[in-house]
Amino acid sequence: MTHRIWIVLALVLAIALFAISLWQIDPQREAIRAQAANPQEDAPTIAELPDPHAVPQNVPVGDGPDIRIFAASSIAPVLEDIANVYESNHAVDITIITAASSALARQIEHGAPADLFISANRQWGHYLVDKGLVADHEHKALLTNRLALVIPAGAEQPSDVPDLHLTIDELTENDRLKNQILHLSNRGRIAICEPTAVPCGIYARQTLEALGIWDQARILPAANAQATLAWVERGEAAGAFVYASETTGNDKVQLVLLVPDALHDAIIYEISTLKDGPAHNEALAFLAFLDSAPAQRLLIMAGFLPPNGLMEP
Amino acid sequence: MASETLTLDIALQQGDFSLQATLDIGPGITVLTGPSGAGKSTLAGVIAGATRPDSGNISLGKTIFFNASTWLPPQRRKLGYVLQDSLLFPHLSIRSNLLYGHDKAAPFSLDDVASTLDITDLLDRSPHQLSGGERRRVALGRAILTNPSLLILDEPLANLDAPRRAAILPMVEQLRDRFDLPILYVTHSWDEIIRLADTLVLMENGRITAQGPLADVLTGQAGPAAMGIDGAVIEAQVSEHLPEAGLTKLETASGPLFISQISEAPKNQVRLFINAGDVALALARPDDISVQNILSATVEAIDPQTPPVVHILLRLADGQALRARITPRAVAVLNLQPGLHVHALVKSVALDRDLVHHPV
Amino acid sequence: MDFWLTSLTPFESEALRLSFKVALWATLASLPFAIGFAWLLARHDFWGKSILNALLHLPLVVPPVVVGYGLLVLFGQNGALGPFLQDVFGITIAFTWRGAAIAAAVIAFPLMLRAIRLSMEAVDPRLEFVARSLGASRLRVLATVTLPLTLPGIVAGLSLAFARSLGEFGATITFVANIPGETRTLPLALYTAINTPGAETEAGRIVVISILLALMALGLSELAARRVTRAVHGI
Repeated sequence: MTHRIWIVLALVLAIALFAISLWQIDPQREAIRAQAANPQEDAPTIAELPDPHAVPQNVPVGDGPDIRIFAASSIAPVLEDIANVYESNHAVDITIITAASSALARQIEHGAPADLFISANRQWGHYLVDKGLVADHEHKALLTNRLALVIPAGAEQPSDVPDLHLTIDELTENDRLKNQILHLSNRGRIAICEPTAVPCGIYARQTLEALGIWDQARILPAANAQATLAWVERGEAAGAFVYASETTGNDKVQLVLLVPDALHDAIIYEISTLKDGPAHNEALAFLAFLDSAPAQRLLIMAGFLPPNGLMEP
Repeated sequence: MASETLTLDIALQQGDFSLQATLDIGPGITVLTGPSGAGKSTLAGVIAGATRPDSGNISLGKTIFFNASTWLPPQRRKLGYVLQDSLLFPHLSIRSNLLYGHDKAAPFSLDDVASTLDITDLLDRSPHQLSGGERRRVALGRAILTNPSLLILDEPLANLDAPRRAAILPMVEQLRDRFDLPILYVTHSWDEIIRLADTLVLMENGRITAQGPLADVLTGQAGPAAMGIDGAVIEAQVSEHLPEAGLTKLETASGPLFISQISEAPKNQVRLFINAGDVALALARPDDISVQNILSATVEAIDPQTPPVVHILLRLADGQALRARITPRAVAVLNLQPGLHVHALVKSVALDRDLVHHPV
Repeated sequence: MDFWLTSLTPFESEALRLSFKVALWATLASLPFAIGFAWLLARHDFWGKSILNALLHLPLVVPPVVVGYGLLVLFGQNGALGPFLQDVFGITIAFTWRGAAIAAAVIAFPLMLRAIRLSMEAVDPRLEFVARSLGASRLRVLATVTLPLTLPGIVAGLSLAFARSLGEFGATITFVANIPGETRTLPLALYTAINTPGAETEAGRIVVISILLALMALGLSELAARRVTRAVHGI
């Protein structure tokens, strides 16, 4: 008798798990779609842009080479959308492998097959050039971003005034930022990416060091930008340093402020083409698509900024 | 410590096995015996508190062990319980084993018990260093040192060789005598029954088929059939020793008996077992005969069994019973009838001295 | 050669110290529960026994990350019990070495439980009854007969749990993250080193330290097991 109950329970559980795995929800993507800007003349209208989640009707999927893109976690979501659009019109399969830029660089260095590498700083792109895996002329700046300090959606904004505010002196913008971070640090930990190697974390560390509070702030290191966002979305971290792009259309966090660019190195996303990538030519074609208007629109709607006036390396 | 009587009247069902018993256990050694599966060990376990009966009551003196509203747990029953597997605590020394449940108010000390059981040399050893017989003795000592009101021994001499058994048997008697301890003794072995039993309880299929003083049960109706043994025990007094003949003379109300020399002093009582097959009958007292042991007796009952044997129950002058086994033809020739006076001839050598029991 | 002979860097010594602390507390905290449940399962029958048994073994079969996530949901800053513990008892578990110890304890618990339970079941129940017939209460029997004879299993359980706690990664990093000085045990430190390009030497050193620590723990537990078995059974 007892044995049969166990078997039935196990079967029910298995079916439930299987059903859950088939069900996909992504309200955030839907929100981004809904925030589309006015369409331009020669660009497809929003109505005409294919739904990223629909299976392409005309183009046989799985027919053609596989482009493998190793992308920093902060850019991976919008890259998925761009890739889906590209796949619906071209006979290629795009696979996006995402993690922290440093982790990806290490994997590529150890032989992981990659065609394109998008890093959230120039350092990891140059690392692969130094290792001879990327040709000198085959990497360039792609985007820029801002660093943002965020807190969970329902939390109270931290005061920008120190607890013992006795002087009548004007507080500088940096002072305000410093105070807000310290107040958050009292509430709980501040999530940042691993400060030694992950770009987002490096920018955050530079900011905290510039403000002189690197030792005081209680940080929570996370593996990459998406993971950092997850900690603060869940309310486990009192605050987080994430990219501004990660706050776009995100109702689980609220912005405290955008960190002044002067406090950290310029945030430059770099895209590199691997010399020995299996789908080298197809990768270059996709690279060109990234520069096109539809792709750029998606990037801007996701909160990224074009690399205005940035010098070529 | 005055010994109390254990009164028991219980029923128990375990699967297909049903046990029902009404029993009184008084002073002295009560031997519980019967075929395998009769329920002896189960009953012993019920008394010790290992198994809870379905209904009934058990009490020792004024202490209630079990009834409809009470269940006294084993540690409060003040019983000693020794199993065939000595079950010494392997992680403790012999001394610690002995003292595990030691009652400091007991009228005897560790040294008393150790010397009685001859284990004084073993006190600082570990159980795994001891032989089977030594472990049995330690288990006995451990139980005794708790100063119990009743000692339950479940086949304590099983699987021991003859010398070992011969060494421990007298110690069991000493336990009854020196420490004034009522003992419930479960066994299969006839030697032990004859030697030790003051009271004998027979069990079969979960029921008690006979209980009472040893002599009575042996010669009672259920005797030979149930136990597969045919004989009687009688008590006699040591009269004198005859060392040049290697004999001891015993005196009974029905005449003298000569047995191989024993160590007991004159005036001591001894108990003997006489196998029915070793008893011959004569109408007149024979003079020129090798058999020296002749007792005068009266025929009480003639019990025809399957031919070619007939069982005769004889009564001696002092009321003790004796059994004889003869052929139907002999019965006819002698014209044996109840009430007839006869002479019972017992071959001397049939009185095995190992079976001699020495009540103090 | 310099690789082998230099002393530990702060990064390494901190991770080593933390690993030790977390594993030690995790093992000690699990012990009373493991003994209690082992006794319950070994010596008693009750309704729901097999359900309880399955639940207690869950951390063994479920992916450690799942365990970590479950702990986060329960004891995180925003969890079901976390704020309660913090407000009422002043205890913070999230992002502290305590949380790491709890994660390791939960993961290692089934191993300890099994070892102790098996050892306890091997103790002859008749020995326990004999002890009771000699006048010992249930508690005294547990303390003077059952537990001493279970000791070899307890030692084995402690060793297994300690070793497993030293190596615990998935639940730890999911529940209390990878915070230097608080939760960055050796496995997590190794993870950090592996994910930092150019830190191969560091990673190698941590691997060596981890292996040496494991061998040492193994050796000590073997020694302890032999001594205890000899004391208990005289073999």
